[in-house]
Amino acid sequence: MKDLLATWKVLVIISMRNLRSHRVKTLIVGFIMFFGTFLVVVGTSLLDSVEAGMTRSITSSLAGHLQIYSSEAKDKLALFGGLAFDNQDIDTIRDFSALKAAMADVPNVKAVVPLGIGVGTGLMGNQTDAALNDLRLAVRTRDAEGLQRAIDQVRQIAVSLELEMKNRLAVIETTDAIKLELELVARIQNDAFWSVFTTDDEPEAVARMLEQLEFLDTEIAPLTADGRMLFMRFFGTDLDLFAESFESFYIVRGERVPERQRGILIGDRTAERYLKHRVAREFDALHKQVVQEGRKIADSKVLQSQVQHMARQYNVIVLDLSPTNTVALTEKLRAYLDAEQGALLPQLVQSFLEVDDTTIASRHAWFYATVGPMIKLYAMDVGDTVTVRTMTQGGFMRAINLKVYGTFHFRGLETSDIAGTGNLVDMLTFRELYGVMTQDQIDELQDIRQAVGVEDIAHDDIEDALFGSSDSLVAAAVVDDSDEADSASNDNDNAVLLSRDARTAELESEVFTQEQIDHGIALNAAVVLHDASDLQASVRQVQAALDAASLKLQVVTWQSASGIVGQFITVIRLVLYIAISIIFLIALVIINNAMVMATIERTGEIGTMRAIGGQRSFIMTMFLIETLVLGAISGGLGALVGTLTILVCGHFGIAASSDVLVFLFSGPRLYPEVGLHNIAIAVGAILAISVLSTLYPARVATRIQPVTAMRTTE
Amino acid sequence: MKPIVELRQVSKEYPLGKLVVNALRDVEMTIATGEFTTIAGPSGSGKTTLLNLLGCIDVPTRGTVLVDGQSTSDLDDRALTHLRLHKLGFIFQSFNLISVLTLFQNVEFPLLLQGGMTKAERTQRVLEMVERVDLTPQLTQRPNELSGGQRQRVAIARALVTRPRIVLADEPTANLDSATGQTIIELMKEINQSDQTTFLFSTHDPRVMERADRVILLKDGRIASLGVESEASDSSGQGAELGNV
Repeated sequence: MKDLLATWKVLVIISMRNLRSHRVKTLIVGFIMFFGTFLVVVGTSLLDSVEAGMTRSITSSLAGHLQIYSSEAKDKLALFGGLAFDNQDIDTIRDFSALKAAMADVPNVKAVVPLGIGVGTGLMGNQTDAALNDLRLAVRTRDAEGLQRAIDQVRQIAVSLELEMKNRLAVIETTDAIKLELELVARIQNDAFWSVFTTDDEPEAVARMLEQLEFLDTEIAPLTADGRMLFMRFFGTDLDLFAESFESFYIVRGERVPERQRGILIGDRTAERYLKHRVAREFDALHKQVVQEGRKIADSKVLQSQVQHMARQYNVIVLDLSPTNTVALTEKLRAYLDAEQGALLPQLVQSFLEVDDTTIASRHAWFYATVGPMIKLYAMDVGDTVTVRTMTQGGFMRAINLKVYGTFHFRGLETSDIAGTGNLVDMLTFRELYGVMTQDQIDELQDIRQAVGVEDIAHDDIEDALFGSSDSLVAAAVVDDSDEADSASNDNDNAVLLSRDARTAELESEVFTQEQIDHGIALNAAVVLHDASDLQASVRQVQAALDAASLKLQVVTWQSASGIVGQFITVIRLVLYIAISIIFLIALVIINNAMVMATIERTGEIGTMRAIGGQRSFIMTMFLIETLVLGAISGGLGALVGTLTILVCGHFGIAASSDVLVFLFSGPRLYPEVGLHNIAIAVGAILAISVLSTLYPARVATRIQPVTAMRTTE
Repeated sequence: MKPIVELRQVSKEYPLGKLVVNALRDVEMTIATGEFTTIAGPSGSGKTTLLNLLGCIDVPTRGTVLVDGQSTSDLDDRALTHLRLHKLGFIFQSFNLISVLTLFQNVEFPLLLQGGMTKAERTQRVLEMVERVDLTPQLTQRPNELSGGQRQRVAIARALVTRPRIVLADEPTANLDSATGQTIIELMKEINQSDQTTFLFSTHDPRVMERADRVILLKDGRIASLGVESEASDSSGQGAELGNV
C-alpha cells in the first residue's frame, strides 16, 4: 500500500512536470475541460430543475402521473395540444366506472380522474340581453329595488342607442330604417312605458308587464350589437374529484361548482385575457409594464401610445354605467382629479385614463376600487350563465346553458397561458356536448317514439336518429332552452317567461349521483399515484390491471401524454447533450493530439524507464494520471464554478421571460438546485474523456522499446 | 566461477530496407560472476547490440542468451522487464536521469518499481548508495543542477540500488572528460571488488580498458578475441581502423 502511494507520488510528480512544461497545451485542454464540466453541471442542473418544475406543473394540474385512454385510439393523446391540434381522435373510454373499479385494486393508485377534452364556443348575451334578464328576474321575484335598477339600466342603454343612431343618421343616406328604430327607442325613453312595471301581483298588471317585456325582447334587443362569442377549450371532468386530486388547483374568484352539479369553471387566464373589460385589461398591461417591470412611460413611445389608446376608450366605460353610477362617478372623478364643477364625465374619464409614471399606480388602484364595481368587469363573470356550443361527434350543433361558478387556476402557473386558458365543465355536460345522451334524454326519446310510433333504433344510431332527423324541434327541446319549442304547445305567455328561467334553474340545481358521473364515457383518465418515483413500474402495474379487467385501454406516462409540451424538455436535453458531446469530442481530439506529441517528445525518457524495469502498465498509468490530474483540476474547477453559478441562480431565481417559461419553471421564477448527481455526472464525464483521450497516446508510449534508451542523448 | 551470462551461437539480424544487417554472427561467450569486463571494438562492430542482448532489452534472432541461467528467448515482454528490474542495472552513455525528480527520487525510482519495501528500508538503501557515490550533499538537487560526473554517479547509484547481479554500461565515460571518466571507472571497479557485482561495459577508451579484467574484442559482429587485457589494448586501435569498412 505504502509502495503504491510512493509510486503514485512519483507518477504525480512526473505528471505535474509534464503539465507545467507544456503550459499552452495544458491551458487549452484545461479550459476545454473546465468549460465542459461547467456546462454539464449548469446545463443538467437547470434541465433537472425545469423538468421537476414541469413535472409539478403538469402532474399536479391536469395530467396526473399517468394517463389512460383507449387502446384503439387513432392518434396519440396530447393533453396540451399535439400536431393535430384539438382534432385528435383518441376514441373513448366506453365506461369510466369499469376503469375506476379496475383501478381500485392497484395499491399505488391514489385517484383516477375522468377527463374529456372538447372545444366549442361560449356565447355571452349582449348588454341588453343581460339587462332584460335582470328585469325579467325582478318582475318574477317582485323585487322593487332590482326592478328600478334594471329599468335604469335599460333606459341608459336606450340613451346610448339613440346617440349612436343619430350619429349614423348624419352619415348615412338611406335613413328610413334608422328613423323607424329611433321611434322604437324613443318609446322606451318615455316614463309612461315604464310605469306599468310594479311589484303588483294582479294578473292584469302582470300581463301588462309581460307585454312590455315582449316589446323589449323582440323590438329593442335586436337593435343592439350581437353578444360576444368566445372560442373555448374545455375539459370535462368529475369536478369534485378533480379539485381533490390536483393539489395545485384553486378557485380564484367565486366558488367551486356545488357537489355533483352542472356548471362551468372559467380558467382565470381566459377571464383575464379574453373576458375582461377592455379598459381594465389595457390598464393592467400598462400597470404591469410600468410598476412591475420598471419601464418608464416618459421614455417609451410604445407605452405612450398605449396610454393614448386606453384613454380613447373612455366611452366604453361611460356607456357601461347606470344613470345612478354616472352621477356618482362624475362626482367622484371631479373630486379625485380636482376638476371644475362643470366638467363632464367623458372628459373626466379620458383625463383620468391619461396616466403617467407618477399617477399610474394610484389610479390603477382607484380604478379597481371605484370604477370596477360600477362596470361589468368581465364579459362572462361569476354568476352569469353562458351558452356553450359544440359540434358533437355526430356532426350536429349542441348547446348547453351553464352557470359560471368561479374562475380557477393552478398554483404557480398564474401567469401561464398554457395552463390557464382551459375551462372545466362537469362530466355530464361534457358527455352531452360530446354527443352522448343521459338516461333522462333516452327516456324522453322513448316517450317521443311511443307518441309518434317510431321503430326501434340501434343504440349507436340514437344520436343520428335524434338529431339527424328533420325533426329539429326535438333536438332543440333536449338541450337548447329554446322558447319556440315550448310556446308551440303552450299559449300562456307567463308560463313561457317563467318556464325559461325555471328550466335553466332546474338544470343548474340538478344533483347527480356519483354513479351517473362515473357511469358513461370519458375520453381519457388521469391517474394520480401515491408514489411517482418509478413511473414505468406503475405503468406496468396499471396496464396489468386494465388487461385483467379486459378493458381495451392503454396507459402512458404524463410525459408522453403532454404532447409537444412533454417533448419540449427532451428536445432541449438533446440539444444540450449534443453541445456537450461536441465540446467533449473537441477535447478528446485536442488532448489526444497533445498527448501523442508529448509521447514523441518523451520517447527517451520512456525508453529509459522501460529499460530500468518499468512495465508497460506503469507507462500507461503515468499517461493516464497526467490527463486525470488535469481533468480532476480543471473539471473540479468547472464543477465548482458551475455549482456556484447554480447556487447564485437558485438564490435569486431566474425570471421567466415568457409564458412558455412560466409553465416550464412552474412559476414566475426558476430556483434551480444542483444535485450531487449533476456534479458526479460532470466530473465523471470529464474523467472518462480524459481516460479515453489518453488511451491511444498511452498505447503508443507503451510500444516504445527499451532499446531507445541506449540511443538517447541528453 | 559460476557463469552469470552465457551466449551460445548467438546471431542478431536487423532488417534495413531490403537488406539484412548481420549485427552479430555466431557469438559464443561466457561471463563469470564478479567479472569486470569491457567490450571493445570499432563503431558498428556490434558492441551495443551485444549489450542489448545481455541487458534483455533485445532478443537474439538465433542462438541462446542465458542470463543467470534463464534463456531470454523464452520470456515475454513482461518477464523480460521483470528480469531487468530485479537482476540487471543500467548505466547509460547520456546518464538518462529523469529530469523532474531529485537525486534522491532518481535513485529511489527502481526500488519503487520493484515494490515490497517500506519507506524506511528504501530510504536507508538510497542513502547508503548515495553515500558510496559521494553525493550526499546534493541529495535534493535535480539533474540539471549537477555536473556530468555527478550525474553519472547518480546513474551508477540508480543502477546499483537494487543490488543487481550484473551492471551493464554503454560507453559510461564517453560524455565525460578523461579525469572524471577515470574516477567513474575507479568507482565501478571499487564496487565490483567489494560487492562481487558483475560489470560489463563497452568503451572506446584505452585507459578504461586498462582497468578491465578482460577485454572482449568485437569485429564485424564476430568475436575477434575473448582475450586478456594486454591483447585488447594492442588490438584496439587496429580494430577501430578495421571497423570503418
